[in-house]
Amino acid sequence: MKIKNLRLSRKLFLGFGFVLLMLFGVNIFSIHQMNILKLEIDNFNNQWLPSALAISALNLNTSDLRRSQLQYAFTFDDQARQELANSMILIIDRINENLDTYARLKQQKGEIQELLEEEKNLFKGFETDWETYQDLSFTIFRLSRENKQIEAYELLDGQTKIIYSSINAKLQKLLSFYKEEVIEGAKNADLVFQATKKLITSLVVVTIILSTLFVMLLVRWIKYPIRQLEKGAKKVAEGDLSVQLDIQSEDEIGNLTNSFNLMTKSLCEAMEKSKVQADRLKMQWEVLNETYLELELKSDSLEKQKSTIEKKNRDLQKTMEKLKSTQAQLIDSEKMASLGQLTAGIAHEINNPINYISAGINPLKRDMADIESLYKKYEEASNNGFDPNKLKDAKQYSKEIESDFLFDEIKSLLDGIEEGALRTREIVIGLRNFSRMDEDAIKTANINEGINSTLMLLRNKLKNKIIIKKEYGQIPPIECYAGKLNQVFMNILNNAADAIQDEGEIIIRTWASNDHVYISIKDNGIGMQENIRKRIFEPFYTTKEVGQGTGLGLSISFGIIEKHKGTISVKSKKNEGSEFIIQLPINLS
Amino acid sequence: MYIKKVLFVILLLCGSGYSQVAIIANKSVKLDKIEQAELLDYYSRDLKFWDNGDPIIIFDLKVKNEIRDIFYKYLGKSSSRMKSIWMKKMLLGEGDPPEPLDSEEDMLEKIIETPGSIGFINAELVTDEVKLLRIINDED
Repeated sequence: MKIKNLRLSRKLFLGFGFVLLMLFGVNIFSIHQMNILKLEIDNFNNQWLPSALAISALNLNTSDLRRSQLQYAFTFDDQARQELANSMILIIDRINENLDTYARLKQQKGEIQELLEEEKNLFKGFETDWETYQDLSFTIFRLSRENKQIEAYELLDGQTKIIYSSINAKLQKLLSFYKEEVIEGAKNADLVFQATKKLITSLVVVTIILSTLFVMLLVRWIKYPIRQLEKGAKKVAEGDLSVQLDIQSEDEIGNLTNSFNLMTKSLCEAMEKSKVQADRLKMQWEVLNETYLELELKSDSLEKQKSTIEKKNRDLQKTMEKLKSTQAQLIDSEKMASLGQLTAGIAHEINNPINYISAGINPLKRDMADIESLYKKYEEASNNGFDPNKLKDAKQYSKEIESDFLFDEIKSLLDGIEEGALRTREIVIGLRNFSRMDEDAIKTANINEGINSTLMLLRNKLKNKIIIKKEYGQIPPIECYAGKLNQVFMNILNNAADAIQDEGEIIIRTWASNDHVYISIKDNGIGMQENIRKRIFEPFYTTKEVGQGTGLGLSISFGIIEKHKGTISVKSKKNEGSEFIIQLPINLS
Repeated sequence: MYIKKVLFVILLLCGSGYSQVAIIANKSVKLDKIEQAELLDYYSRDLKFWDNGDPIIIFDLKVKNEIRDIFYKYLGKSSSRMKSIWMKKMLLGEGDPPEPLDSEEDMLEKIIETPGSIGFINAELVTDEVKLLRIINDED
C-alpha cells in the first residue's frame, strides 16, 4: 500500500515516528561517541596519568637511592651511616609502593586494553635492571660495612652506574612514552569530540531537512485535496452542481472527496426532481386556484344555506320548546288521569263508609226522638210526683216503641257509624301516604307500605274481581322519592287490573339482595305479544282505546326508576300474564 | 629410606611433563616437611635459627630459570621484592642476603656440605644426601 493511501492518522504517526526515529538515531550515535570519548578520558585519567606519575616517582626514588648509596659509601660515622641506612629503607619502601601502584594500574589496564608491547618490554627491562642493581647494592653495602670505600666507590661508579643509567633511561623512556600516550589520548579525544560534534550537527541538520521534507509532503498530501475540495464547494455554492473532483488518495480526504462527488451527484438528481415537482406543484396550484374560485362561489351559496339552516334551527328550537311544554302538559295530564282514577277510587271508597254513617243517622235520629219522647213522659211523671197514670202511660209508650230493641238498634247504628268513620280515616291516611307523589325530596320509605297504600286506593277497582297475594319479604327502608315510586306501583297495578278481564290474581313479591330491593308484580291477565312488550316503555305507546290512556304511564314510570338508579323489566306471554320486576338500590345517594 | 625413594618415583611419574621444584635441606635439619609460611619466614630472614640454635642458611640461584620462578611464585614474593627485603635487613644489620649460586648442582652440593642449610633445586636432581622437605608443582 502506498503511503499516500494511508489514513491521515497513520500518515501523521508515520511522520512523527520518522522524526522520532531520526532523533533516536542521533541520540544513540551521540551516546556511542560519548562513550568513546569517556574511554579516552578514562584512559587518560586512570591509566596514562597515574602510570606516568608512578614511573616518575620511581625514577625519583631510584635516583634518591643512588644518591644515598654514594653518601653511605663515603660515610664513616656509624650514626650517620645508620641514619642513611634508615633513609634508604624508606626509599626502598617507596620504590616498592611505586611498583605496587604501577602493577595495580597495569592490572586495571589489562581489562581495558592489552598492555602495549613497547611499554611491556621497557618495564620488563627495568625489572631486570632493578634486580641487578639490588644484587650490586648488596655488594656495595657489604664493602661499605667492611670500610672498603674504594672498592665500593669503584663498584658504584662502574657497573652500578651503568645499571642505574640503564634504569634511568628506561624510566625516562616510559615517561616519554606516557607523555606521548597522554598527548595521543588528548588528541584522540579531541578528534572524537570534533567528529562527534560534526556528525551530530550533520545528523540534526539531516533530521531537520528530512523531517521538514516529510512534513511538507504530508502537508501537500493533505492540503492539495482540501484546496480542491474547497474550490469544489465554492462552485457548488455558486450553483454549479456538476462538479466532480479527482480522487487522489484512499485516505479520509479521498473518502471525503468521494462523498463530495456523491453529494453533488445526489444534489443534481434532487434538483432535477425538484424541478419536476415544482412544475407539478405549479399545475396543482393552478388547479387549486380554480377550485378556490369555485369554492368561493359555493361558499356564498353555503352561507345562504347556513342562514336558512340557522333559521330552521331556530324554528326547531322553538318547536322543541313547544314540545317540551307539551310534554310537561302531557305529564300533567297523566297525573290528572291518575288523580282522576284515584279520585274515582277514593270517592267510591269513601262512599261506602259514608253510606254507613248516613244510613245510620236517620234511624238514629228517629230512635233518639223516641227516646226523647219517652224521657219527657218519665220527666212529666216525675214532675207530678210520679203520677201512676203518667208512669203507666210512659211505660205503655216504652212498650210501643220497643225501647229494649231501640237501645240495641242504637248500639248497632253507632257501631255502623263508628266502622264507617274508621274506614274513612283509613282511606284518608292511605290518601295522605299516596299523596307523597308530589314530594321531590329524597326520603327513607318502606316499599311494602307504599304498595299497601297504593292497593288501598285501588281496592275498589280490584275487589270482587282480583285476588291480591302479598308475598312481602323483610326489606329495609330505602332512600327514594316515595310518592313517585307509588305512582309507578299505581301504574303497574292499574295495568295489571286492566289486563285481567274477568277474574284473576295479582301476586306481589318483595325481597332484598346485595344492597338492592326487588319488587315483582305478576298478573295472570291477557299478557302481551313480544312486539308490544318491546315498546311498552315508549312514550305515547298504548294499547288502550282512545281516551282510556295517555300512553305515558309506563314511560314516566321508566323515567322514575331511572332517576332512582334502578331498573325495570317486564316478562310477558300472551294469554298467560305479565310480570314487572323493579330493582332499586337501598342507598340512592 | 626405600619407601621414600618409591614415593619420590611416584611423585616424579605424577608430575611428568611439568617442572617440579624440590625444597631440600641438609641432613642435619630436624624437619621432615615444610609449609609456605615457614619457608617465607626463613627466606625473608625473619627466622634466622633452627630450634637447636643452629643458624638457618639459605641459598639463591643466580640464573633466572624456570625452577627459580616456580620457587618464588610459591613463596608469594617476586625475586626482586625478596631482594628488597634482604636489602632492608642488611641495612638494619639483621643479616645478609643468601649466597647466590651459579647452578642447581652447586646448590645441591652446598646443601649436602652445609649443616643447617636449606634451598631449592629441580626435583629430578634430588639425591638421598639431602632431606626432601616438599615438592612444588608449577600449579602450586
